[in-house]
Amino acid sequence: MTIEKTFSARERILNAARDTVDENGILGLRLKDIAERANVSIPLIHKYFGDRVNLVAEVLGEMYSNHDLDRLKEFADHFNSLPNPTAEDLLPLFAYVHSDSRVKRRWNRMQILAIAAENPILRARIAVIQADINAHLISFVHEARQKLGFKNELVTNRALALLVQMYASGFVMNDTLGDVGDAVPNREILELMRAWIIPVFTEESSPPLD
Amino acid sequence: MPDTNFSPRITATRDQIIAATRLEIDSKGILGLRVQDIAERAHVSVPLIYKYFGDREGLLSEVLVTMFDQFVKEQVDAGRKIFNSLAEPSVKDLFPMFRVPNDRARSSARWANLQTMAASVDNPALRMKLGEVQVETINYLATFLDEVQIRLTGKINTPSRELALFIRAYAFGFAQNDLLAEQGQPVNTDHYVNLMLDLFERAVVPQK
Repeated sequence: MTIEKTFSARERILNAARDTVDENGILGLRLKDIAERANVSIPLIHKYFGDRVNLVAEVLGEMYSNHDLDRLKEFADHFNSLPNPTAEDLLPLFAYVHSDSRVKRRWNRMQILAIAAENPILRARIAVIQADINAHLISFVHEARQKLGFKNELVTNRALALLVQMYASGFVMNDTLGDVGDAVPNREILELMRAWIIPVFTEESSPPLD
Repeated sequence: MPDTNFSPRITATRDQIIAATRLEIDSKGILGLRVQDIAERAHVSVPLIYKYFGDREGLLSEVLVTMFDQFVKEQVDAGRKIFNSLAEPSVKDLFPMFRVPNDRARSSARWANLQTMAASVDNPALRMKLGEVQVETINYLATFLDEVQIRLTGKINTPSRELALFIRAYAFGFAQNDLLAEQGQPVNTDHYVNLMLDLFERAVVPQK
């Protein structure tokens, strides 16, 4: 078998796995479906990827990484290109939008994390990705705060970066409120961010705590 | 359709199945849960489980929802008790009721919550129940935050429901910090608490 052929079968399996995830969701991912779609045998999948745990780790790890980091870099480029950035320009950094694509993405991430709880290989992989995203976010927060006038020494960039991420992942909570017709609307969340959280990036610390 | 007419004997069997499901979840996690294993542990047949709960999804929706954030109300009650017992409370006095990200003892519970949320994507009955629980929890927390704001400043400065959503959302996201901790880069707990204090001072006691 030539190297080229080997590569293409491997790629085919990965593509089939991605398509299967798109169609059947993340939790129900079955090797049999992937094999059928890729037109390969299950033993061949095992040959390239080891067991199911490994294949799942590879496919889902990749899904987890792509979006967040790309979007963060895109946003950072945008922000850095602004001639006179203001605190207001930081708003898109926070999760609030109820758009279908964002909702789908955060629930996908949720499912990948859930699987990682039972798949140590995936979990290790995601931890590396998360640390990478976190490092990018910390350096973005650092630069943004310098540009906007960093004054608050009590609040570290690391803590702020984590806040942004934790809040984003927890936004699924608002989606479940939406299921029963009780979501907090975008407008109100934006208002809260604007009045409350964004100033932490730019202003002095609130009254000194004894 | 699941059987909904419970005699005492059926209730006892249902409880036995629910208890067995919880034990299975403790030992194997939520996603890999098999009805067969539950049946063996509960000493009942698989068809009996289906008779009482409809299907695997029906059983899961019933059990997981009771495990999901089961202590939030207790936590709020405890926080309220402390807060109300103080002659001159401040925002800082709210903090005993908040969780901190590096509390490793809570780690397995938050990953279980995350799995429950994930399982609800493919389980509409569970998802609907989670929505209802969520509304109840958020409102419960918001009521307390209303009391706090009024006690501290005489009025509501930030809508308590949004504050409550924020508190719930970020606590849910602590799983992210677990991942960072596994890479040797957890957030510093003191820094985290400083940030929260700063945020809550701003929200509850307006600057200008």
